[in-house]
Amino acid sequence: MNKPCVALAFLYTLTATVLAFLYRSGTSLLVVALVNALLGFPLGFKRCRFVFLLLLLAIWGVFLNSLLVANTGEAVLQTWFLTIRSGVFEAVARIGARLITIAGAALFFVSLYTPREIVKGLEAELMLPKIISFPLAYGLRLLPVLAKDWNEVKTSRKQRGYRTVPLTPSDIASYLQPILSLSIERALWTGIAIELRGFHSRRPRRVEIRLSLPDYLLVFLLVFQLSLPILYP
Amino acid sequence: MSWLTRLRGLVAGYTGVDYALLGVVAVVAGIVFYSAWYVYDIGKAIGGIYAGRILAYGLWFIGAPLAASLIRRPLAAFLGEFLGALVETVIPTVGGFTNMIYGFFQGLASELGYALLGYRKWGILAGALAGALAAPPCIALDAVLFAEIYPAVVTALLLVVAMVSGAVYGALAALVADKLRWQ
Repeated sequence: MNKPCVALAFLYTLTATVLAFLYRSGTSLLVVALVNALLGFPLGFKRCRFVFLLLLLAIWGVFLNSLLVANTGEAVLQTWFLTIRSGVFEAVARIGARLITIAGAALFFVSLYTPREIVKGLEAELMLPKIISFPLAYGLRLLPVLAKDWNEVKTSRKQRGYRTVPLTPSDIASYLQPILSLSIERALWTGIAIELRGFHSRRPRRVEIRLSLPDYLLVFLLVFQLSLPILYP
Repeated sequence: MSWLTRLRGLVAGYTGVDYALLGVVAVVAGIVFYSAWYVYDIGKAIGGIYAGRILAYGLWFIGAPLAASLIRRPLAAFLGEFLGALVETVIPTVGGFTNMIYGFFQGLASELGYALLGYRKWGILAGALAGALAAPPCIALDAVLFAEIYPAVVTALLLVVAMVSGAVYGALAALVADKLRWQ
């Protein structure tokens, strides 16, 4: 599949996130939320379903918060113990749209590329220094290794007749201690190995960005979202 | 000497082992930051703004004390927090790219804690200080980015709650790092 370049998608996501905060309310914020939801949610639905659960929880939290601090204006809903006023709905709509924009833009970026593509792209196209790119690449590579270690501890606990779901601090410690010790041991030998291969004098490879059709489409979307205050003053 | 040259000098002192250790801290902090969203959202939905913050905010500050106590070099605190936030962004969470903004400023504030101690102390107290110092930028960003603006008394209480949470989790992170370092 032809994809936009990582640097441009990164800049797009960063700008959309900033726009979510710059457009404080009104049509502009709703349009930005809609564009990014349409862009990110279908892409991220398969891979990152938990983000939708978090989004629902966050909006519920915003509702409770608004009841506490923004319950002003005309009464909209009245129950025997609580009156919900228009201020609550306005606050939930405003912050909800902001959260949808941020989550949509992030889902678009992380669903489009593998972590390896992201790190390589950021280093080669955006000139990310190696003190950021190497630990990030190593950390992301470590994720499946940590999952494997976790499963090994789980199997060992099962064989000894202990519960596999860590509930008490001692359970958590019995999982974390071997995993962290192993990770640090691995990091030590990885560090020695990369030094022996001349990592210290390695210079990051830079590539020139060549724009294709998906890049132009992304630039168009970005310009459209940036010009919303002119379209809807 | 310009600040950029100084910064380059600091980074040049890092060895391959430090880079790899930063990677471990980044992934551990990233997983903790990701889990903290559930803790925060559930805590806030059940117990309101104070419960959510005391339970979860400190978890979002542990990248800095963990990295600094493990690596014991200038800039380690900033890098630990920022890289953890980057991993959290890539996983991803509902916070999206805002995690990076938070990670950047929290990392700087925690780094300030170690700088104030002259980069000589890396123990539990330094960890608690670094964790507590990450709270003010976090509360400020909550107000600027998410418009979480409360009356002055509530804001002050939230700040205290976040600082206490940061100090407790920061001390814990430093303790864990200290134990791992000498194993």
